[in-house]
Amino acid sequence: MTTVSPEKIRRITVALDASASSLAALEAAIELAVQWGAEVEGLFVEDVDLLRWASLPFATEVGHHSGEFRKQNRPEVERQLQALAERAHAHLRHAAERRRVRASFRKVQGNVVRALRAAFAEADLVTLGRGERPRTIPSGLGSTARALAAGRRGLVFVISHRVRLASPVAVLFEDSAAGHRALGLAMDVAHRNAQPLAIVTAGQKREIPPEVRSRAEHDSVEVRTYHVRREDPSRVAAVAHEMGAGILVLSAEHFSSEAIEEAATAFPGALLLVGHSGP
Amino acid sequence: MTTTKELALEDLEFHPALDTSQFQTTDDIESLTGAIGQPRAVAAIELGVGMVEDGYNIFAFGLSGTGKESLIREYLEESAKSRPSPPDLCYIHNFDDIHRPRLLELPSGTGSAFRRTMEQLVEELQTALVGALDSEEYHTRQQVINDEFKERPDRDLRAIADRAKAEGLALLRTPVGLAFAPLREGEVISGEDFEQLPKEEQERLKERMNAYQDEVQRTLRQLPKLNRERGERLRDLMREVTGLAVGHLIEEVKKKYENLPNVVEYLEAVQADVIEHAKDFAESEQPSLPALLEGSARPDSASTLRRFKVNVLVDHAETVGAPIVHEDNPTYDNLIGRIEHLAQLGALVTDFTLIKGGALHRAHGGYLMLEAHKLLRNQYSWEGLKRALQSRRLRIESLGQALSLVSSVTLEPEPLPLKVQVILTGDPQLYYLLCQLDPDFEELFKVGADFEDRMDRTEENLERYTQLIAKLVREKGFPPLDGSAMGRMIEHSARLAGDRRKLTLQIATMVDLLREASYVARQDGVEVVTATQVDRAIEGRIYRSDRMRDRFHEEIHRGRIMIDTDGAMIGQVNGVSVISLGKFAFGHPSRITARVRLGQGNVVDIEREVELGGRIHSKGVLILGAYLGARYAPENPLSLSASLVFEQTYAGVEGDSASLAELIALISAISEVPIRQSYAVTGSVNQHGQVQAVGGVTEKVEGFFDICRGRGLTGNEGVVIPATNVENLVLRREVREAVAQGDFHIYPVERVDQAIELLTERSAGERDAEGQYQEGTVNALVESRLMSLAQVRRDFHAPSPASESGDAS
Repeated sequence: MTTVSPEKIRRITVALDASASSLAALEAAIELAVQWGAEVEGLFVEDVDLLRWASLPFATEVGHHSGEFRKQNRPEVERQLQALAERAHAHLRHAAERRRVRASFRKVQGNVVRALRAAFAEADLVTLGRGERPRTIPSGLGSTARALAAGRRGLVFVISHRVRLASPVAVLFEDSAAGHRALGLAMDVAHRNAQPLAIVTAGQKREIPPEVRSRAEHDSVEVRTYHVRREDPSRVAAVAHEMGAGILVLSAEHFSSEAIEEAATAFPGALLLVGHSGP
Repeated sequence: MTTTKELALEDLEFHPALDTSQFQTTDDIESLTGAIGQPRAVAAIELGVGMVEDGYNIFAFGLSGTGKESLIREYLEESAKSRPSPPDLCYIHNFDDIHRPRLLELPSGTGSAFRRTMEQLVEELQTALVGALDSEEYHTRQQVINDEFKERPDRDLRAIADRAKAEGLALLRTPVGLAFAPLREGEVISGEDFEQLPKEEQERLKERMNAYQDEVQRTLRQLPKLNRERGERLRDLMREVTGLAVGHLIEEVKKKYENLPNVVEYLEAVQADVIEHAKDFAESEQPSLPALLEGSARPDSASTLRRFKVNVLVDHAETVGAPIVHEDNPTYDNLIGRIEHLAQLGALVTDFTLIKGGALHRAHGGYLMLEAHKLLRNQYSWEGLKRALQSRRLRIESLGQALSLVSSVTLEPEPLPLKVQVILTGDPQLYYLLCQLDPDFEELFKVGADFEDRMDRTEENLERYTQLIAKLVREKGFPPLDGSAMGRMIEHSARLAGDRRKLTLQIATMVDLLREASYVARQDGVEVVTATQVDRAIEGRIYRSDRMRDRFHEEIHRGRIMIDTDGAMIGQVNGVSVISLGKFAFGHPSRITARVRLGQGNVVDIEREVELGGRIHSKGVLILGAYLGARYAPENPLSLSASLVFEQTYAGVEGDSASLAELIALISAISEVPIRQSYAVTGSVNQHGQVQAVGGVTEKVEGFFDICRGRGLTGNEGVVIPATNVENLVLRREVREAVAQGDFHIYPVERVDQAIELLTERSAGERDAEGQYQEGTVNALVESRLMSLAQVRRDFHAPSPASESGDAS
């Protein structure tokens, strides 16, 4: 079986914007770093689109909670972004100190997706918070996460702020390199957090490789298997949710970004996307 | 010389005598039925028990051990049988006001069953609710509602964003809001580039951005309303689902209690509350701590189930008829009830399940027996009881609340409409004090049951008394008594009554004697108690108590306390006093001496001068001065100064029972006629020389007898007592035997002169037709001495010849 080697995960990058979901992503990153002996990098991106907008003479926003119009300008938006960055940094520092994890913080300015992609190219695992509804720009996965997932590279961990790492794990198993990598990673997460593992097969029925069973036995991981007829990530996600899973591991290799987004919509927990390369 | 007749043995015997021929042992005697010797108390109790109107509570008063409680209980038990059992009392949660728990009255004996029913109902409700709230149907419908309300703004914003994007505008998320910006090649246009756009294009874009912003604003402003709508829809769903789940369960219980409107009303409140808080209810663990008094609006998981509990304060499942409750420790809390608290996170918390009932709750619908001295000794208990009886409502409140000392939030349980009859028992002094000092007392305790401490020794009463003893022997499981033992018991009863014509009604003391005689019988290995065992029990009782008497007698026999029992002395007489040590009293002779000299007619009571004499003793001494002056010097100034003293007494002297002895000592001192020391004297006198009854005459006679016997009876010794005390003499057998054999004499006297003649062996003397006492009599000698002293005094104050001449000149 081709598996992910957690010991090769040395650097976990977490996208921070001080929102509840990004803080959940931070907590997950720190926990994974403890388990895998990795270091954490917090990345805060000052959205250049936002700064351009704020430079426009007619820049006006509608308050999230008040619904009131407010005139805006660049210095004010810069100050707000700076405050957000400081809060994100403080959260990172406290979390890292508490769990004794090596951590660094970086602030960059640019297009969010491009900046994150650039940073994530150097990371073994990316964790980012999941967009909150309904008071944000609507999205099942979050536009940034969706864009990153479309890159189909490395590992992307999308965390909802309600999910804890110590939750039952589900994985969609498919007979491919990425599928084996996803299964190995799911097994590792379940083992390290003493949680049961649900292995879901979709479409054509597949046998679980014996080495997976023997490893589960070795690691004392309780394994259950499920099969869904349709090879549809959203169906798999719905089944995983019904089974009580908090983490769903998917190989991003064979699915379109739309399919992944549908899966994310059907699954309210944390989504761990396994790309075609990486550790 | 004297004409006073001494008492013979028959004067000291008991009349009527006990007829022991009718039985061998107490096994042959029927047990007493009904009360004995308490017709007045019985009439009062019958009235009190028969009256149902307010205020007819009973205060039974009498000496300790007169059987007040047992007699009252007998009557109460008889009355209680014919009365219905009162309702069970429960406190339940008040769903409208958590601070005011509701009182629930249930038919007698059904309280615990209702509590179990509620416990079972709650379990079933929880199961049903968990099932209902976990059902696919509920989740699906909930999801539909959530999705509907979540997706609506989501969908609207997404649509707005899509339309804006089509027009080259991006919807941006700013740190605190949403904004629109023109796009160029997928990125927000810069200010400079925007300025490069044609003015019309700029205006169009601005106009469109404003339009979209308006739309976003409208969408966002709908959110609170949508949230409210969503919440209402979810609540409606919850009510519908839970109502269906719990409705039939509660209906079943309602049907079971359909004849009890208060229970049905409570169950309806339970139903409404369960539906309102279904989620908390379904998720609740079994409660362990009470609901915090922090407001009823927020039920926490611990309190959700706890408030459906039923706190059964009083359960009459085992009660037959009306309850009779005796509260041995009537503290305020034990009487009125209390609200307990638990320490939780440093605060004291409580709820209705911690309400504890008091004796009044248990006695509601029946009778409550209390001992008055315990009630009054417990601070505020009396006030609390009066308040409950006056208002006819039993309100459980802490002392702090009752006295308005605290104002913190606590419980105010619904008061109980109280219906109870209270029976207090106590001593007469307490009864009369309450009558005098508490204006409410007679209004609340209209019936005073006055218990006698003794009864007449009639033929009929003697028979009933033996029946009483037989009953006590059976009830207490003592071995039977034979006739001799019964005789001793009756004799001792008279002794306790202090009168040969009476029998004591201090039954508790008689029971103690029976118990001790039974013990002696066990020690002796006999199955029937005889006079021997009773005597030994009495002797043992005395022996255990008479250490002090032994010391006194020893001091007398060794001559350290000087008491003469032979010869004759001027101005010296043997008085007898009684020393009481708890329940044991004994007579103790005291030497009383008198000295006289010329003076101004005052009799000095040395005891009073040094504040060892009580007020009654001083009164007796003052009477002596009046008697002397009126009898012997009615037309002359009483020109002596006399002093009287109880020799070798170092503690207080009280009472006037020594006034006869003091008068004899004075008369002897004045007349210089010696007094026989083989006699002791007791009795009080009035201004006319009549001898009056005193207390403790039996102990006094026996006390002097013991001293004389210790020195060896010569046949000359005896005691002078008031004639009116003869019936009080209940003497020990050995004293009676000494009297019968002429070894010891008891003289009853009615007048002082009789005592003078007995003690001086001379005629007292009476005035003849010319008003003169016969020469040589004691009274003549007294008068003569007083006249002579008066003359001396006149001479002393007469003017000197020089001053007479001076006056003449």
